[in-house]
Amino acid sequence: MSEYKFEEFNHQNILGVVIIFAQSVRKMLNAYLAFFAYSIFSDGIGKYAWWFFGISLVFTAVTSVLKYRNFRFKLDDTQLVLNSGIFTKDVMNIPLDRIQSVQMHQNFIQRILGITGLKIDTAGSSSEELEIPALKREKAESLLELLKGKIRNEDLPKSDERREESSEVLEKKSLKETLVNLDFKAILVLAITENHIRNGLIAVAFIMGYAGQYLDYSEQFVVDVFDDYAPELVESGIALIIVFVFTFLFLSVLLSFIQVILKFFDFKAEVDGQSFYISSGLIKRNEFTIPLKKIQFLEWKTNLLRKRLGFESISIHQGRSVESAGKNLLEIPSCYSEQTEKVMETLYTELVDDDYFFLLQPHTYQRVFRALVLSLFGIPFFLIALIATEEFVVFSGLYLVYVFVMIAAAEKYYQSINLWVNEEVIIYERGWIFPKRTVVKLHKFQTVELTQTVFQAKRNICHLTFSTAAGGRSFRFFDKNEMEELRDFVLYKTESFTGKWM
Amino acid sequence: MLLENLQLEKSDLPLLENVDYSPHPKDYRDMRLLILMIVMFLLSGFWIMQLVFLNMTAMGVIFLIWLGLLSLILLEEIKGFKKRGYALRQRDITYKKGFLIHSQTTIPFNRVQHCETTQGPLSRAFGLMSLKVFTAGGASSDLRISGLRPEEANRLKDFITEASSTYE
Repeated sequence: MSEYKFEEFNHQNILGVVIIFAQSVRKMLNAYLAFFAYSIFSDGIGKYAWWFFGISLVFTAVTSVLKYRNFRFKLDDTQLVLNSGIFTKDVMNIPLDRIQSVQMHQNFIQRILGITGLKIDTAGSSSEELEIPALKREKAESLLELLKGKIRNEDLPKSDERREESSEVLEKKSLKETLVNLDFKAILVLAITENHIRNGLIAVAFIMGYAGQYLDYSEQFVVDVFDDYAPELVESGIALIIVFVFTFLFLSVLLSFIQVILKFFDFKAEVDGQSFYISSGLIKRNEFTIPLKKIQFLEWKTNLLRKRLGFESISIHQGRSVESAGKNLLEIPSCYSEQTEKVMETLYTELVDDDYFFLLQPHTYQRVFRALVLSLFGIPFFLIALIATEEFVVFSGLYLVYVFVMIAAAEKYYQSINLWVNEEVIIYERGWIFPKRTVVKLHKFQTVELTQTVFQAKRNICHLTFSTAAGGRSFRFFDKNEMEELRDFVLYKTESFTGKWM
Repeated sequence: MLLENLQLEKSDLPLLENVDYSPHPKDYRDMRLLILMIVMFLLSGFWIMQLVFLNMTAMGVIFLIWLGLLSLILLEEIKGFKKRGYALRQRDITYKKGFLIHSQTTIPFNRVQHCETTQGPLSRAFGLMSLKVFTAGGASSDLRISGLRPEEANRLKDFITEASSTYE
């Protein structure tokens, strides 16, 4: 480990040129894709497009070499320094206590070349990505270790008494324990139980959004084709809808499988007293280290099928800047009850015993409101169907059935809401088709908001919204006196907490 | 003992309900009403434009909807102004507002990243200033208190900055 020195400026591995080149080419292709596609199909400017492409490629190659030469980094006791830029020299100083997490990261090309990238996440920094894209694996590992060591040192409390205690704790907990290790069968189970329809819809939305960029170029083409085939399309109406539905379902399931396998192949989660360690991915291999202190809250999610099989997923919410929303969200996709227990024990040391919790439930008005909203939501659809077909009796009947189903669903949902509070955490459970459980430590709160409409004032109901550095959740339709008490309690806990929270 | 963490009885908790809130100066209400009037005036162009395209019944319906919305907004502004106010405690700041939807937002000082005061041209004319309190989580968890007297806003800013820098 000591063969690498980071106190003085280091260059990346020479293969970094290839990686920087590949990254730049991909960026360029992304930017000019529409232009190239258009020019290849239109005769006049095709030739020039190839020239343009060639020259851009040469230019990119030259800048990649320059970028490589000008990229240097060093690490001293307090900060990580990155120098970069060809014409404008950028010097970026990253104080170690601002670093949220460090990840090793390999995409396809990096894997082939045996090179690892190092990504550095900082709290609340700009959208600029901090990355050292090309290091030899051993070097990346030793830099990562060094970084983690230094970050950890800064986190240690200063008083001697505490240090002794924590070094003891360190010794006891420094052994990494495997939490989850997914084999191929587990990944298949995961893929089968995905929410396929949601995945399909997301894909459709994504394709629409992406296609929208090139709409100007493709619109004429689509219109031409459509005009040619329109009569047949209309004739085969219902058959077409059925084919569409089946294709959609098939593709959604296929997509779930591909996504899950790409993302969670060889998934491994480990934990010790300090951090979570997560590594996963088939083509793009990611390794994350998440210090436990920086976790803002955890959310367990499952669905009816997975609940049957007895497992849930855990989303780990860390502090984030607005720009990279969602980027810092990590997931442990499959967790059985003993693993959940292990996580709870590691993170929440005090009073995990059930007896210490006290339980709050929402006002019964919650289900009335939910049933009402769901029922009203259906009206436009039934109204349109009714006007289009003029089948008054059929659709009124169907609407009535719909309303009853919604009332039952609202009742079920109401039954599923539980808010548990103890001296250390709040646990918020809700949902019956897609049950969710949010667990947040009391001192992670940074804004607490109590909201009440005029109509709720009579019934003495209110909503309580908490925000952490990783976003927030609302407790809706609870008794106002209870929520006020909870707010005062949470504020007291946050304000009397003196340790690190982010 | 680094961290004191004693068991609390419910009755020992410091209660936020019992604090006194400081109201805004009346000028702030006047400024809000003026802004409302300007917006209404600008929208009336849109309103006159519809005169050309729509028949009388549609006009009547739209006018009624418009009137309803306007009276709701006025109700909110006039009744809601009395509900606005901030309260400082030793370790947090609370701002409450709203008549139709009333909310009380509290930020503990040890979660404040920084704060700033701003003054636009209109608020300068009214002699008012806004205070913004930033937290780490992004816009949804920030707090903005508009319509304070400049000296008051600056005093608040200094107090919060001072209070939040003693943590860390």
